[in-house]
Amino acid sequence: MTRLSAEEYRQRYGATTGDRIRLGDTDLWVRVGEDRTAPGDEPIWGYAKNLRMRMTQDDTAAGPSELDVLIAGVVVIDPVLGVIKADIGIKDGRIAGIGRAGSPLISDGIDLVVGPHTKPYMGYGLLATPGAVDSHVHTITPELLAPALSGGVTTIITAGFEEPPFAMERVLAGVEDWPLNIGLQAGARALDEQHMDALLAAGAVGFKIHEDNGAYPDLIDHVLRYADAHECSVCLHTDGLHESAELEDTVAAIAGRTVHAYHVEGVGGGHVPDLLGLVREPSILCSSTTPTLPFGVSTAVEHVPMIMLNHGLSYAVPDDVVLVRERVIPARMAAEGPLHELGAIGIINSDSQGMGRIGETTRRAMQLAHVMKHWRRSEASEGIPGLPDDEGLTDPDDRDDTARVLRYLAKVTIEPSITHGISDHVGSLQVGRLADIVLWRPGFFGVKPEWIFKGGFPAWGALGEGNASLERSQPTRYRADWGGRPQAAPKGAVIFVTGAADRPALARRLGTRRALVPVRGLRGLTRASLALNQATAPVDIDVRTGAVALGGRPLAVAPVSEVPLSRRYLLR
Amino acid sequence: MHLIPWEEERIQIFGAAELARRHRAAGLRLNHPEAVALICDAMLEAARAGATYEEVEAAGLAEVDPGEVIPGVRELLTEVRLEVLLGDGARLIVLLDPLGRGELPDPLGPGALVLGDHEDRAVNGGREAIELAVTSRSRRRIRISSHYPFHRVNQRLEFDRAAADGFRLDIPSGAYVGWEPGETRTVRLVRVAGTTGAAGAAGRAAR
Repeated sequence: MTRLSAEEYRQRYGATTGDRIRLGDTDLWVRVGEDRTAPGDEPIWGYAKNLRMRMTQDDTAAGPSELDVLIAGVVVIDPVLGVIKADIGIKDGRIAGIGRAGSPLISDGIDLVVGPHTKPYMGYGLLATPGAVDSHVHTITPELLAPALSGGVTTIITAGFEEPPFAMERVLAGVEDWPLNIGLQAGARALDEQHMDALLAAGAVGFKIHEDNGAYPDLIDHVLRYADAHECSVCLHTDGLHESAELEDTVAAIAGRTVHAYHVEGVGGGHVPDLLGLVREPSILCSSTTPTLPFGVSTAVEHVPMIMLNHGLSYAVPDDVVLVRERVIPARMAAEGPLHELGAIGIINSDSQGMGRIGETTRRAMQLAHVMKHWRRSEASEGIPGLPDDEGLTDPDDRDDTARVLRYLAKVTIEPSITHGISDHVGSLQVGRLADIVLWRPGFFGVKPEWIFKGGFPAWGALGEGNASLERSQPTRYRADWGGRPQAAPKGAVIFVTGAADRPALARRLGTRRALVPVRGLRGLTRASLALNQATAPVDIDVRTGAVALGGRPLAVAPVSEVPLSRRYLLR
Repeated sequence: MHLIPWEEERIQIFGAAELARRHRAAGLRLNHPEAVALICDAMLEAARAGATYEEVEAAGLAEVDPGEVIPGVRELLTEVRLEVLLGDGARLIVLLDPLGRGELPDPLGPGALVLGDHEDRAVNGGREAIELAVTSRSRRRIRISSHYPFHRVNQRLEFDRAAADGFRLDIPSGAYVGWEPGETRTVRLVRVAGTTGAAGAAGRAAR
């Protein structure tokens, strides 16, 4: 037995059990809960290192037992698994295990066998999260794809306006060679079932009901009935005009059935001023979009031009400006963060190019977690019923935010995956999931990833100049790695469809090289079906002001003037 | 101009550095990409003007004062890798901790790791161990790494090879031990674990 100082151990192999890591420049710290790596037998590749024949490589390994890819010694931050120092094993593009890699010939407890055909990557000192699932993306232009990947998004679920089938085929063709999974939600624009059948046949995973296409109670009822019969998703942007329905009418039309309600704060659209009342309903899975999170001093003012120009309105028409101003309500913007802290809003997504920023999906989630940590330490949160435990409050240095980080990470990973019936494939790094992995240097967590693995292979990252004698020479810029190049990307990325689609026929028609993967298990979900954001909140909302209260206490966070993961990192 | 990608990349650095210079001149503290761009630009310019390798390194290290950056940028800026064009062609420069100036980083800065315990960590604990005197008969330096099957090492190392069968050095994974010509060292070996170790002296199958 030999001894290493704690410091030297971490220099060689990175964090271990009990260590705490500060995430970027936030005030969020995670504590490593477990270390699954092989003590003394850590596999390391390089000059004088041991990932070689007769050492931590099992030369007799072959076929099914042998990993395709190993990411050694990372700290996994996963909403389901927790914070674990481990080796990540990948086989056939999916997670084979989060455990201990090496050779069972010379090490005990090896569950991930490194063989002569295993490609190793050294993850010591890095953090690994599941690729983010952005469940509210308008594919307005393909320019959104590069920022998505550069922000750690590896799955996008679109939000309507991709239909009709003619347009869906072209969007799917356009995304074919990009290393992202995609599922198209098509706009529900008519009651005729032939319309909906055609959209599912064209590959839609579900339907978006949007007031700009009509969000009438009978349409809501009809689409939900169809969705329950065909196992597909329904996302909802409600009737902000109150032309056909008010909040109670929308809730009555939903009638306890599962629906994903978009931007429930409301400035993104929907019932004015009390859309947030949806957080009371267990079957309504609520999400927020990036621009309102965290609530900042400029949030309200930027939304006027954003709504005007996104929703076909005109500054030349005074009534249009009035209509928009009515929708921008700081009081409910202030309530949105606390509802995330409660877990009553479970999902964060971008609303990319339809009033949101796709590269900020993960970043905004972590910024919000930071802001809400401080809210929990302010008078404003006192007496609010239902707030989850905050272990940092009992830590003498207030440096343990593990549960909070996992809750907020869940909002961009496992929660949208469950909601959209794709959690067998994405949203966590559990065994069997697609190996869509984002590697981060701890100082850059949440803002600039180091490397994105898609379907088990490096597909995107901060790559350096190509002539250099070694990788990552300046200028490093985000771009496609091998797994993100044409022909390679579709090997590691899928198109989500419904079970109702004729997949072989659709694959032929699209000419895709991707696997078509059916969504499942997404009907009958309630808030309790989510992983870490299961709350309902019996809020009271003042229908004149939009102010939100819970348990007789105002539910509000003050707007922030500075956020972390921002100016320290971004050239602008 | 027939710009090759390498030249276009130089212009990207220039553009970022020029923006950073403007921000610095306005009295703004620099962020991470700005500081990296300025350091790279300074080295590229020094090289263009005919500086030596060492002079280029010095130009990079001198370009940004630690007081000019946003707090925390120094901790983020652990390394700069850059290829410059010297008189004898393209050369790689690596600056480590270029804003450090010999000061310790903020132990709680961005991305900080705070150790949960400061206890020494036992490596290879609980394994059968032996000590052997090993003498080098080589004219050259020999190094043996942690997991090399010790009974198979370079024939110019003299020791009881039969006794070492199934053992490796008792050192941390990825570490190594060296022998100078003629040197005798007593090393501690541990029996490998896994199926080979479990088979004990009879376990030759996988070696």
